[in-house]
Amino acid sequence: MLTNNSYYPHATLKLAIISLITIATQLIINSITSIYVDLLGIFLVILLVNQLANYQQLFILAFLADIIGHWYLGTHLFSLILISFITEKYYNFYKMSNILQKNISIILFFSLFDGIVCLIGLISHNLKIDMLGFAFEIVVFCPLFFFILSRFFKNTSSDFIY
Amino acid sequence: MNRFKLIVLGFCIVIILLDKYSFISKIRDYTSVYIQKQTTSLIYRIRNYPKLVLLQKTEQRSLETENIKLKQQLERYSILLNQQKNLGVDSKDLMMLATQTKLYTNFDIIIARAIIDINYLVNNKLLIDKGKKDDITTGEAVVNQVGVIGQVGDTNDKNAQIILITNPNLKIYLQMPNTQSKMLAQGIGNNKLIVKYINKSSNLKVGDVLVTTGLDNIYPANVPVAKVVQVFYENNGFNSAICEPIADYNKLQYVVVLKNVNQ
Repeated sequence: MLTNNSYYPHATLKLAIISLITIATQLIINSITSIYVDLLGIFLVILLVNQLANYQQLFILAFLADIIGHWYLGTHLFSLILISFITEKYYNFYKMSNILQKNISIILFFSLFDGIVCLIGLISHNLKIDMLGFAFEIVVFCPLFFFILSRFFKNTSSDFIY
Repeated sequence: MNRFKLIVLGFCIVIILLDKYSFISKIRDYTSVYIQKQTTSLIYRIRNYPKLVLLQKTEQRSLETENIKLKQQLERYSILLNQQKNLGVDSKDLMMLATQTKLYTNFDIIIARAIIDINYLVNNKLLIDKGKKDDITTGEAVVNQVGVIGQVGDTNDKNAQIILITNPNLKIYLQMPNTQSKMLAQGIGNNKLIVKYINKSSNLKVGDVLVTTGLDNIYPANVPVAKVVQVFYENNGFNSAICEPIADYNKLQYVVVLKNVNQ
């Protein structure tokens, strides 16, 4: 169970292992393919929406995402904090959603997240936006990541129904 | 909570500004480039590892085959080199023979290669690679650039047998170069000749070289035959001498068969 609950002592270790796997995957994809993806960003959004990590963990991951993803320092965290204003209020609805709805929610939140990151990049560093990478992220990697990480979620009643 | 978030947001803005306007961006860039570089090289190694292993194996195989080929080539070349060396020696011999043959007037010459049998010391015979086809007949003299070798014995189409002067069946007339005193030499085997009936007044000494007389129509005159190694008195009133052939049979390469034109 990937939670921040003290009842699950191995939760942080699991989070660390998954984070490392995510970092490695992102580095491999970015190195051997022409597309550029921000898997850590997707991971951060999923963690945030599902409220699976505390802010301390999110800070570290956001910092890593800034370095590994060649983004600029603070952008991931800034974007994450901004969307957290919405996700907090959205959480109750999200809990009751089924997998498809959750997926769509994740895609929407990630799009918003990535949009903010890109906007900061555009304003501060004249960043070039990779639309192909973004398309891959929302079509392939968001559902895939969500599917993989859902193994570690607490299943809600709606998940059992669908 | 919202206050905390706002503080974090403020902190983020500060970091973003620092990243843009201060040295932090350089540290960030170096770190990210280093990570990216390491990852790329690692991935490259992983991707190319099978190729590298395969390449190493194929290279190793090709090197092995090349090594074998080179060794064979080396062997071939060393054999060729040896042959060249031998040919060099042979050609020297031939040159000397050719110059020598000009000395032999009234004699046709046939140059032949000597085939040394390991038992020549026992048999006192050797073979040459010329025979009846080359117009070699029995009884002809055989010499080399040093001196007399012997006489032609049996012949066939391709080869001829040379009876060496050390053969007990061969006798040869000799003379001393200075005094012209004649004597008869006969082979006694074991690479030796014995010269009998030497006049006591001939003053034959150890180390003297005896030459052919030229009276027998077989050998040209004054060709060195043997060197005296021992002189002793026999009870028949004459001296006898043990001689060794001038020619070293162990080093024979080419011989000249001398054919008397007048015969």
